[in-house]
Order: sequence, then structure tokens, then C-alpha cells
Amino acid sequence: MPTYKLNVDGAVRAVNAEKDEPLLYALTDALKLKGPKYGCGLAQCGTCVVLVNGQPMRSCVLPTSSLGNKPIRTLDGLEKNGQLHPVQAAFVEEQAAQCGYCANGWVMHAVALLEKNPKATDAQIQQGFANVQCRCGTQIAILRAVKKARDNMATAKA
Amino acid sequence: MDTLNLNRRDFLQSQAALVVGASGAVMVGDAAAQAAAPALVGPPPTALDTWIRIAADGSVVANFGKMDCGQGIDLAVAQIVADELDVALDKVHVTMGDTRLSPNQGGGSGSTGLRLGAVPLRNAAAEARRVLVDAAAMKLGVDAAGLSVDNGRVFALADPAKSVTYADLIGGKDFSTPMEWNKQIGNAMNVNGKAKPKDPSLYKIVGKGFKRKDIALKVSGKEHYTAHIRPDNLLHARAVRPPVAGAQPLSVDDASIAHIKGAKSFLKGGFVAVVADTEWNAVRASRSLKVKWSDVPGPFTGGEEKVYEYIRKATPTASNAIPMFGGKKAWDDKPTLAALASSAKVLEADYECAFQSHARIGPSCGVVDVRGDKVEIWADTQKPHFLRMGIAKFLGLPPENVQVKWMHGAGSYGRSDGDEAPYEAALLSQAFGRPVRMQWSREEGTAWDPKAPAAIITMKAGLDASNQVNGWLFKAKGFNGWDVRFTGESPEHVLVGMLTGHKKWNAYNFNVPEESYKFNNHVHWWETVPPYLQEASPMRTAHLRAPQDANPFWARELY
Repeated sequence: MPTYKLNVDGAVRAVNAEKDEPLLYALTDALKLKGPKYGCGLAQCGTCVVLVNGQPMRSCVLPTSSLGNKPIRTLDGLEKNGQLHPVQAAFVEEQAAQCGYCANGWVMHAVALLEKNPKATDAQIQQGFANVQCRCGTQIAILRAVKKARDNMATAKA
Repeated sequence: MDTLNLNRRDFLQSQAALVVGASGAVMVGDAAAQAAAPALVGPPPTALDTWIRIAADGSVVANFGKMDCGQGIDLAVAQIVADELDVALDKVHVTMGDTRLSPNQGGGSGSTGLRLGAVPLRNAAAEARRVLVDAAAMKLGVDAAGLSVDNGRVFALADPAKSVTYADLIGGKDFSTPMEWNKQIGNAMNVNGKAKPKDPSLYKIVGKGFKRKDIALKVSGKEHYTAHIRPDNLLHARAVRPPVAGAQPLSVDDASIAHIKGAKSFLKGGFVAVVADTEWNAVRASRSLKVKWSDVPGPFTGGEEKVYEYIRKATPTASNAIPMFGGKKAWDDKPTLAALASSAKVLEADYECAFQSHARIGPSCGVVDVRGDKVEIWADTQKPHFLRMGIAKFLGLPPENVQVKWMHGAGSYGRSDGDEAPYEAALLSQAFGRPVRMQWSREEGTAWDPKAPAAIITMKAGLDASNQVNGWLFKAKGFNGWDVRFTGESPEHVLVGMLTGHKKWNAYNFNVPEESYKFNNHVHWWETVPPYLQEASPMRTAHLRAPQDANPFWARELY
């Protein structure tokens, strides 16, 4: 089984993985990360999303062998020095979770969206979560949290 | 007298009988009636320490025998306990669904979480406060009536400097105070002490909004879900399902997975699985394993398009005017049909309701470690205490040896696939002698989880000349909604149980509207039809939301 040196949340992490092994299993089975999750294994639900070069990617279908040293960011690494990322903080403020199993997909997509477009309009936020699922029906609270994060991040910059 | 053979009915009818109770003591009369209480496994509800403990640092542990599906019920329980005990909310830690710590309060069930489940905890917290105030009275030399409590500190009203904390009074020790138990197991379980709960006018915490503890953990990858439990020496497992429901595995070809390091196959009855040391290798092995399946005709003749024709043509297996758990009630449609025949106008419609998959966002996951005759289970089922009883039965072990640690999981809304992977992991762990993690695929979570039953709901209403309803008929004809019971309490109620020789029970149920409409000449009833496949069916039904109500509600709201 080959060894891959992945760049995960700013640190080099060596994992043994089969050539066709999706990144999700390297992250959760080998590295024991808790953020990305298995919801479908078919890139349809978003629970497995990580950011690669700032882009949301579905780790359940992304081969570990294809990453090289591209920077991978996960939910586990969003917090800095004990401080929640503004998107995470907004989710807490709005209590935007029921079971929370889908939260990884929404938070990581939101981080990517707001980093790329800090001035995203409400409509752009509403459109920004294609194929990110929630079965508990938390979508309205989640969108409220994302808009709040946008506003809080803009205020912090000002 | 052989008390093991004395069943409860015989026992209650023989008031004067001498009975040897569980402790070996001989009891007569009322004491004997006490012995008729249902068999308990786990911490006794009759002990205050089961419900409330004060740790050495004064923090409070409240053990809740239910669980959270995402509604944050542990926060509400903590608020109630904090108010009754007069401690700060953040000092209360609520454990959920842990069979070592809590009695069986029924799990997530029937919207009873607070209205029934929190009641014994409120009573226990009130009793704990009473016991602690009495202890403080002795220690401080002040009458209990002259004491109050704030933030876990008991103080004299006349001289607040005269005080002692809960931590100093009892921290880390047992209450050893008995509670009176109502002999119920499940949702109706309750206990009472000498203390009464507070008047609501005194609430400081209940009635206010607070943040849940788990959301901050869940959005930062710190919360432990079942899916995160990965003990040392773990074996990963995946099931292999037949291409046609009902097909039996005749043989497996181990050579087909020889190229996958550490992969092994497992076959018992109709259940096929693979295990491997890494999760991805288990996935690969499940895709590579060659299985020879028996040749069976597909059971779902005509497919999706013919479901309603099947229902219309089928001879009913059972019928009733009320749900089966309410008893038997006859109905007579003749007066209603006569009223409809004489109505100025009749509005009628048939609603064709499909099978519904629960389809939790995280398909079934279970981790089980069987070591000899001791079993440790991690699961997010709604019914952890019942799961424990069922897996104990499945493995042939005493329930005292089987423990469930309930973990957070994907949200669920009734009987989902939550029990399925734990049962399968248990079987495999017992076979391979290592802890096993079974993860269902998305395909399995949608195809093989328990379903809400397809049905045709017929409604007819007759209006008189002044548009008053003078006749109303409701008829549901559909698949039985009760192929498996509300919990995984016994192997015949889970897929792998059915696949390994535990036959499906034969009980039928559907539902009708509650009597909220006061119409003259109204009648309602249901009829169930035979299943497509009797055993181990992907279309086996259970309750999605309220039992057999999802489809009738939908139809009624449209009508």
C-alpha cells in the first residue's frame, strides 16, 4: 500500500492508502478526523466536503493519490487558537443544527463561498449550496447563519 | 414451587401464593405483588443515585434513559434539573441512552421526551435538593425551613454567611436515598420521592432560551458520532446484498477477494458480509466478492407502476376501525353510505401514497466489541436499551453482559435503520473475535431500511343543501405498517435476524384519523394487504414519524 504525504490543515500527514482510495477514508480511517463524514459515497450529499485550494471537493470520490501536496482544509482545522471560525461561530449563534451530521458540508461550502465572495448577496448565498443535503430540515436556520457570518466577517474587516 | 414457571398472570391471580422473589426472600401478599414488577436490567430506578449524582466538584450528572434525535432535549432536561436543584445550568451534565447509567425510559419515542421522560428527572432532582437541604440543616444547625439554595450552595436565610455547598455535603458520594418506582419500564417510567417539584413561578432557567452544548462541538469536528468510534484492533465490515430481494446466497468465492489484504468473507443463512483491516478495503471487498445467489423471481411484480393495482386487487390480511394497539373496534359503513347517497353533493378522492424510505443522511452505523460473553455496543438507535435486549438475545448472552453506549448520529424520525448495523456488527464481532465497525452504504440505507407502507387512502364527504357535511368516509387500504416493531428488541425485528432464521412476527396495523371532526354519519377503517415478500424484505415496514400516520396525514391535508 503506497504512502502519501498529504497537506492537511497546514501540517504534513503521511497516510497509507490504496491507489483508488477516496480521500474521505484516508482522513477518517487513517487520520481519525471527525469533520468529513460518510453520507452517500456518491458525491450527492456534501457531508464529506473538504476544501482543496479553497474549492469545496467531495472527498468520498476524490482519490487520495490525486492530491499531491495541495492544501487540504477540513472542519477539524477551521478553529484557530481556540477561536471558532466566524462561520462556525455564526452556526452556534443561530443554533443552525439539529442532528448536525450534515453540518460539515454546509460549513465548508459556506467558508469557501464567503472567502471567494465576501460580499455575496442573500440570493447568491441561497444559490450557493447545490447538492448539499440536510434531512432534518435545518436549511432556513443554516442560511440565516451563513448570512450572519457574511455580515460579521464584513464588520470585522471594517 | 418453581417460580421460574410462574407467569405474571398466574401470580396476580393467586394473592395468597407464597412467592420467592429475585433475592430469594419469601414474600406474601402485597410484597409478593411487588415481585411481579417487570424484570429490570441495569441501574435500578428505585435509587436516587441512578438519576442524579453530585460529583466531587459540585457538578451534577443527570442520567436520562432517552436520547436526542437533534432536538436538543438534553438541554431541556438540564434546565429542569438545574432549576429543581438550584444549580447553574452549565453545572449540569446530562448523559443519554447509556445502559450502564440509565434505566430504560423508552428511548426516543412518541414525542414523550419531555412530557413523560423528564418527569422522573424533575422528581429526582427535587428529591436530591430535599435530601441535601436536610443534610445541610444538620450540619449548620439550622431548621430546613430556614434554608435556601443558590448556585449549589445551601445557606441560612437569616444569615447567608452560614452555608455549605453540595460538593462539601456529598460530592462524589452516593445519596443512598430510595425513590418510589411506578413499576413501568419505557415511556411511562416514573419515580417519586418525598419532595414535590417547584411551583413554575419559581423557575429561573426553565422558560428561557439557552444554547445547546453539542452544536459548538458538531460544527467544529469535536462531537463523537457513532461513525467516529474506532477502537484498536478494529475490523471494518460491509454487507453484500442480493441483486434480487429474496435470493439466497448459495456460495461465496473467497478467491475473488484474495487480492485484498486481510479481507475475509462471512456467510450465515441469508446474510453475506466482508471484513477487512481498513475501511476502504472492506468497501473494495464488498464490491469484489463473487456470490452465487439463488434464482428467484423478483417479488415486486409489476414494479412501482403496479403497486396501487396490487393494493386494490389484494385480499385483506387484517382490518380494524382503530390502530391495533388500541384494541379491536368494529365499524358499519352502511349509515354513511346511505347519507352519501342522499347528499346534494359528494366530494371523493383516492390518494395513492408511496412507500417511503427513512433515508437518514448517515446510513446505519454500529460498532460492537464482543469479548467472550461480554459485549460493548456503540450505536445511535432511538432505542438503545431495547437494542441491548435484542442483541443479547441474538448472541445468546445474558442482557446484564451487554451494554450500549448511545452516541449522536444522523437524525431519525421513527424506526430507521439505526438498529441494523449494530446487530450485524455484533454477529461479526462474535464470529471474528475483534471489535467490528459496520457501515451501511447509501444504497443500503435507502433500499434496505424499514419503510413507511404504501397505501390508497379513500375519502368521501357528502354535503347537504346548505353545504354542511352530513356524511364522511375514510378508508385506508395498504401494506401493513407493522412488519417490524417499534424497536430492535428482538432479532426478528431486524434484517439480519430475519436473514438468520428469526421469522417475522405476524401482526398488522394501520391508522385512521383521530376523532377531531364531529360529523354525523362518519365511518373510518383500514385494511392491510399481504406483503410482496414475507421475510427480510427491503419493503418491510415500520413507523416513520407517528405509526402509519405519514401517508394518511398527507392524504387528509390534500383532501
